[in-house]
Amino acid sequence: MKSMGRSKKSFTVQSFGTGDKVKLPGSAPNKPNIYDFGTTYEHIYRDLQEKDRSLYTQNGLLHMLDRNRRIKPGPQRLQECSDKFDVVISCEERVYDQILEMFESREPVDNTPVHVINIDIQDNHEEATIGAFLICDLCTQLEDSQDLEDDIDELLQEFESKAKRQVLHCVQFY
Amino acid sequence: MAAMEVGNDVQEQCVELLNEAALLTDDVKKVANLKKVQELIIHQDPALLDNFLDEVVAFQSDTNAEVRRAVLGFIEEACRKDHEMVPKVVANLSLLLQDSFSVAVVKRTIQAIGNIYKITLQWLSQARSVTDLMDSAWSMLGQMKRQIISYVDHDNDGVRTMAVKFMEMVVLLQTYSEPGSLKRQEFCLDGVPMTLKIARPRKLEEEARTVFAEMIKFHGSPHISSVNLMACMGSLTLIARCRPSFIGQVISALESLHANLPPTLSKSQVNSVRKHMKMQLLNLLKHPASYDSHRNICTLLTDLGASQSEVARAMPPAEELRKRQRRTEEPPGAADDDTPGTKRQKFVPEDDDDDDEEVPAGRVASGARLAPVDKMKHKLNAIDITETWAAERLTPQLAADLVLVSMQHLPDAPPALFSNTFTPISAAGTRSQIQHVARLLAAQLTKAGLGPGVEATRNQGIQMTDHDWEMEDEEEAPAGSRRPIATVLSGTVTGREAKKKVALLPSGQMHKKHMAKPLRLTEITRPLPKDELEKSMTAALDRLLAAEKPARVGGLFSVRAKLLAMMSAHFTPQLLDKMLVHILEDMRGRADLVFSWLYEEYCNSVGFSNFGQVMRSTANYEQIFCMLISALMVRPDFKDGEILLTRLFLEAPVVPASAVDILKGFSSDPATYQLGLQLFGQLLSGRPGRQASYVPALLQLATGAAQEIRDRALELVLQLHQSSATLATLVEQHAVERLKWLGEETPPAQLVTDQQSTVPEGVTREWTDELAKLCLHLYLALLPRRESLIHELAHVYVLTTADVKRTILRVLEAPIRGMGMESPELLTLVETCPKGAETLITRVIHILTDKTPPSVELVDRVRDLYQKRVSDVRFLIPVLNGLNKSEVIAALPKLIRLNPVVVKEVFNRLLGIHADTGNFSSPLTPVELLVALHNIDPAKCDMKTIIKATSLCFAEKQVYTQEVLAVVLQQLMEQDPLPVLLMRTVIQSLALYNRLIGLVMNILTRLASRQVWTEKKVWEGFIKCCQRTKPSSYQVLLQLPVDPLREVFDTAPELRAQLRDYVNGFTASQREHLPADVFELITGRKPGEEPQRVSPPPAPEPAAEPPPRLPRARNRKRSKRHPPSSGAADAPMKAIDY
Repeated sequence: MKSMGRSKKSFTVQSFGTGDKVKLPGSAPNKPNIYDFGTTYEHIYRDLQEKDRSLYTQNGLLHMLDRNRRIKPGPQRLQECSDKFDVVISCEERVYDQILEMFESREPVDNTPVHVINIDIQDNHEEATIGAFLICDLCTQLEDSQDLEDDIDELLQEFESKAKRQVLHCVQFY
Repeated sequence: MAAMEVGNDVQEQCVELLNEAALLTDDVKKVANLKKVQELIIHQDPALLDNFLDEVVAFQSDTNAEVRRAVLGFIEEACRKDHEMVPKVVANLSLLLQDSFSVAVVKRTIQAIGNIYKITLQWLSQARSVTDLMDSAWSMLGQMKRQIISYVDHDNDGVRTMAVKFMEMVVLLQTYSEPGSLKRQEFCLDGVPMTLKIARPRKLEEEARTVFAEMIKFHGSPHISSVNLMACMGSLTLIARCRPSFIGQVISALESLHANLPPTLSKSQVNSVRKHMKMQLLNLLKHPASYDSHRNICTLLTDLGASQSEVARAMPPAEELRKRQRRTEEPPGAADDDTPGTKRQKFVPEDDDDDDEEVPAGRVASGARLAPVDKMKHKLNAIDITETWAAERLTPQLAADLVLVSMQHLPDAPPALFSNTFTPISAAGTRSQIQHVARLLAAQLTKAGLGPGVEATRNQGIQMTDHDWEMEDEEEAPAGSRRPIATVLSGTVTGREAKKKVALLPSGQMHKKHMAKPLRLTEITRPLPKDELEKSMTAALDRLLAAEKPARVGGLFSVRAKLLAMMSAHFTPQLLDKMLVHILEDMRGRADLVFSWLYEEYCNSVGFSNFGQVMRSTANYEQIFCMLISALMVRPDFKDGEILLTRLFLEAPVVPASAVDILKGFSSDPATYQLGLQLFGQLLSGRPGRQASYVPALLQLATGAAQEIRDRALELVLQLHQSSATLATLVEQHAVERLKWLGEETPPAQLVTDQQSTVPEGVTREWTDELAKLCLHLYLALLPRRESLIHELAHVYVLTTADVKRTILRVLEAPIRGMGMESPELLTLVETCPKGAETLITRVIHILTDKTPPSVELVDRVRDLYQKRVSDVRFLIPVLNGLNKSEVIAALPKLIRLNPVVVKEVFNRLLGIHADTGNFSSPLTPVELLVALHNIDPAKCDMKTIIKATSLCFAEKQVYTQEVLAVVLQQLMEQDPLPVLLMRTVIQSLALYNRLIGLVMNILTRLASRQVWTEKKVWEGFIKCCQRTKPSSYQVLLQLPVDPLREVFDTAPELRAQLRDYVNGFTASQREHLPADVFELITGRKPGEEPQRVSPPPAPEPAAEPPPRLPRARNRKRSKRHPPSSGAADAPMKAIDY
């Protein structure tokens, strides 16, 4: 449900959701917490705190929201963002599809290429941690490339074989 | 005032920022400064643009790529803001496009040019008049456009991607919007007026299509990278969605891609590509204009793993589909009345060279827009046609065969891609699945350039070449008033052009930087000295030849072959030898090399070499071909050579004339003729177009002296003769020419040399049997096929010497028999027999009638000939059986006068001896023949000849049996007057068949009653017969009147005594029956008297019958009426030899 965003390692990064709503895990798998885009992290944080403080502390949700609210006011939706990126990374094929759909539905204006990459990462803490390192690793390589366009194919293939994960990749245009 | 202040303020800020930037070493800050300036100028005070453009653009020579990119951003924004800026910056763009240091800059430039190109076209379209400046800018942009499009083959992946996007832009910009297009507010061809001289909409659209075709080509190229592929796919879909007329083409491109994913993609790339394709297809599916292709899209989607619900979701609502359907059914002009259509209508009347001028405006608009759709339909049909074609043939049997055939190409383990994507086929065997498989096959076939679809659309393929670009420029320029713009790069500005043209120089270039020229190899290289060149070539060849094994192992075998072939085309003789030796070392393995070489030479010789003539070819194709085949022919280890030799003759691009000569020589060698002629045979069937060139060689072989060669060659010649009319004439001419040699007194020199026999000078050559036959073989072989040739023979025959005539007559049998009696030509020949050719004709007729009875036509002709022109009875012999009875009888006197052997032959024919009994029919029965012989007028033929002829008959005991003779005798006897030879025949018959005695007696009795004594010759025979048939004849004698009896006794005195003894044995009553005078004559006493000497009556002969009474009584009466004539015959019948 998010496109990648970690800002620690000196990358210029933003994080987005792609769905219609912001969905966070709830007390049961079939009872997620749902918010509209535009709701602030602050609001969500308080809301969850009120609902079940211990549960959401335990599952790390509050911790995450706390970190997030210090970075930016609230969840952003990729579809509503007018910034242009060089690379968009998703962690779930469904999200990847949504991103592609978004680009497809737009009319390219100045034809600046953007690479959309998907690395499947299961939505749990352990996987997320491994995934975070993997993605960071990949981003470093992408960043280091002199000519991203020319190198990306090769880099991704290398990454795939090293991480033993399937990567989806596609080029779109702004 | 405030505004001024703001302006000054901004200006000052800009100056400051720019100065700072110029001094800054930190590139990031420099970029930031530039961005600020851009912001200030573009958004706050565009009026300053003019002032600062040069200053900002000057940064384009900065060493940092980011700075240069920032400059590009500025340029782009500037042009967007103020179109007037375009001419000022195009030259700069051109320089940046050549940026050799940073690919990023090039990419950014392409992006910028894309926008500026669009802006410029819009500017041109909206300007009231086109200035020289605009014109120059436009054509310079055009140049850059071409360059960018050519970048689709660039080394850098990113540049290629950008080039694809640029092409997409060109296509979208330079086509008309269509009713089904996505709503795009963008400027496009709709806004370009027809009157725009420097950018004709028609040309632009044409160009767009060419560019589109390029994209399709790029999309289908086998080694495209995944990024490029996805970019291209995206662009194509976008085009399809914006310009629905392209949908068909795009879908078939996707289909073909799906069937042939580039082999270079990795597994995950394949996944990405497939995903991408699925996305694109779903997008297309959403588009109402894709309605016609829904079936194909859905099939593809199912293949890509899209679920039913996904497909269903993407389908446009049914309502819209219906609307769409309706629209296609209605006349197109009536349904759509949207803006683009009306917009175009406005321009139509102004357009002078539009062909549709006369057509109502509304129709024009829609018609013009529909035309491309039709065109597209054509194009997309390549796969469709093949699909239908394949679907028709896809029977279970064929499918099974296909599977079996491909079984052996299957890898041991299923490839990852396959196991990833394979889903069991649920609908196997249904119509739709068959259709689907057919479609997949069609996509593969089309891709491979096979199938009827490809054939059908082959000529419609659009190729974009430089030439096309040139043409376009020239067409646009009426009468050469415009030339391609003078560019800074090439620096070829002539004086006149300089005046005419505004040369656009890059802005901000105070000190003109020396820019790298594009590398042109020919300009910087100089030819090597000759010896060095040769040395290098020799060394290169050696290395290549030595590298056979490594090349094979490394998979570069074909490359090596190609290299060698290309080099060989420029070899010196020594190198050629080297090459030849190399090939001959392993003919089988190096056959491919041979062919590459030959084809290369061939290309050179006919002038479509793709390899510049670096050196003049030293040997031409023909020489090389001959060299190769000669080398192969002399090889002792013939087996490999044989195969290669055959291949050479059959697969080489062309078989030169000299090679045919060599093959001829090869074929006339008794050791190798079989292969040689076999080769000729294969050439005839394998290269039918050039049959005529083998004819002379084959004809010579077919008339050669060695029989096996000749026979085999003759077969081929006959085959040729049948194959075409012109060849037939050629062959016949040759045959007749040789035939005519026979007419010469001595054999012509040519014939003798043909035979290669050495005749010493001065010795006169004689016609021999062999020589004559040499002239005849071909002719005779042709004769049954071309019967009209027979007349030539007749003419020649007259001229020939006796020896040759004999030869001709001898060899004639088989062909004439082959022609048969019905042959109209033969009949004509008989009819028009030339003087001197009678023997020939006779021979011909003989051959014809030897085994079969003559046909009516033939008989008519021969009879005609006999009666009107040549009255030689020998003509008639062969056709005797065809003549009618009276004719035969009329001819008989002449016939029996011929030499006895011939007469025998005649009789054989008439009597059917030696003939097949089945179909034999003679005009004369044996009886009639013999009777006829008896009736021949002695004036026409002497008796002796007739007797001989009858003897021939008697000799044929098989035919002239007792019964036949009996009939003959009966008939003869009834004639009046009696035939002279009657009695002879009677006696002969009796001699042959004793049992005829009864009949003979009967005859004698009747003769007696017919007063046979009046006909002298018969009478003589009668007496003889009586003498021979005694005692049976006594009864007959007793019936004679007395005078004739006396004559009998005079002639044969011994009869008297015998008869007396016989009568004496009579009883009294018997005696009473005898006339008294007879009795007296016999016994010398009166009837009442007793005999003086009593002798016992002789015992009656066993064969003797009791004397018939009735005849006697009649005889008596008659004898009374006709007194016996006296006076013996004084004409002795010496001729009759009893």
